[in-house]
Amino acid sequence: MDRARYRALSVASVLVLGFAWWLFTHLNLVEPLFVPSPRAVLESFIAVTVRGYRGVTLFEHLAHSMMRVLTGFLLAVVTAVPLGILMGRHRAVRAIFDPLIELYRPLPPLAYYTLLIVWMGIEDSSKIALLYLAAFPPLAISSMAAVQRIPEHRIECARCLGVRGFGLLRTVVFPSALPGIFTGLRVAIGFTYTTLVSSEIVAAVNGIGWLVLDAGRFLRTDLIFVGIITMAATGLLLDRLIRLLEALVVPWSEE
Amino acid sequence: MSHGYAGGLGRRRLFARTAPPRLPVIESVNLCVNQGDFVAIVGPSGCGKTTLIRILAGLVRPDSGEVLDCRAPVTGAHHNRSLVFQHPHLFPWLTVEQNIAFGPRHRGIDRGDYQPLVEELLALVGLESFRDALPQQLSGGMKQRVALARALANRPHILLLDEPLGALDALTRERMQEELRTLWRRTGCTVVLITHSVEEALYLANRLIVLSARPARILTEIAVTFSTNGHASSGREVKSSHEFLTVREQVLEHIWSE
Repeated sequence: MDRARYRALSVASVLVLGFAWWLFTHLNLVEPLFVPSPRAVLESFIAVTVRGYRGVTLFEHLAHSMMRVLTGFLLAVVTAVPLGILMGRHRAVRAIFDPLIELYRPLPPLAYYTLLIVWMGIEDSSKIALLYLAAFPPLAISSMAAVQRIPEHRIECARCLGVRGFGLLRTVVFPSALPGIFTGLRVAIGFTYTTLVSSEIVAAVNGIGWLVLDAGRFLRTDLIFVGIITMAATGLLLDRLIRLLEALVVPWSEE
Repeated sequence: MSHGYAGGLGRRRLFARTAPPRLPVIESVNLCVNQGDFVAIVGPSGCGKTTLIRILAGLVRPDSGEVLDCRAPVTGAHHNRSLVFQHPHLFPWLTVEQNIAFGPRHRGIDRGDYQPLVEELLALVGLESFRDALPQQLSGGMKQRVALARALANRPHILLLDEPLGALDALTRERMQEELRTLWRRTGCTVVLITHSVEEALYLANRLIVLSARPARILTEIAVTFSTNGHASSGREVKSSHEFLTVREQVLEHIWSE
């Protein structure tokens, strides 16, 4: 199937879903309280964007959420990626950190979130810590795996050409691992974002997750729809941004 | 080429074993490579040829014995000894030119000092018009030429070739043999070539070493003249000459009679 056809089918699929939604509500098949009409959601979107919900606009909530995600994620990138690279190259480093990461990786982040709240309160610091911990394992593990996949002969070539130590890491190991590191970035950003929304639903005073939680308390389903659609769009956008960055940074394909 | 490739390689009673279960791979190899030599090493498959050349490069430590490079013991990989593998293993994120310049650049040499050599090597392997291409855009033969140029850009004492033409198709392989010959004549570099093709060894080298089956020891050494006196005649003429075929039979006899 060529690209245009594929694209057309994908767009049609989304349009059919939207049409079904409209038809469903238009025929009054269900209480508007449970499923609001597209028009109601759109009006609610405009209202919450312009006037805000309880004094705070949608984008302010989104900005709070994004600040948390990006801070936690970036802190994790600058620590987990170098550690993952070292774990891939040195068995001793792997022996030390692998059990620690494997021990908490299977936990749902919300499980230890309660502990973080006890330690740090429900403000930003506990959330950033939570997101940092959520992003860390996928980043470290994918970086480690990317380094382990480097053909040993490529490393040997570099050594025979006279690079060693940190120079070897910088000039050969890191660029070789970049495609795998980007896979990890995409997995991690998705997971971090999901974790953020759950944490805001559990405990927060603002943010896009809190908006949805609070709207639910007052049975504002239209606002819940606005929140969920905004989350989906933002998640997609974050993923796209990383793909774009990947295309810029890794223009080559492996031999 | 005006640059000299100084140095030779000595080797004393080398022993090596594989990882557990530790089988002896090399029993006793005693060989001295002189500056400007083109030594080809042939032997039955699995006899330890690759282990031998990896020891020479410093990538593997022998269990006993030592390798001397210009009288200094070899303790690890060094840019004085360039190894080219069966597969080119170019850096896929670097252009042809950057791949060739990789060694001197990352050893902290000034661009002004290594760039003339890089240009010379680009011309020598005929890839000037591909200087900005990425490895993924090159054919197998072109990639291997870049790998050879990259190895020479460090002006190594010795060029170690581990079946560099082994993965190429028959036609490209023949053309690359001509290029290796030219390379050796023009640069005067010292070469050790591992190959399983007796024909290739006879055609390219001035010394031929025949190894026994594992554990490897030297069965015989033959002085070869086809590489040096065949200037005028084409590769196919040399390889089909009566003299060439006779020597080839003798070598094969040695290997099979083991």
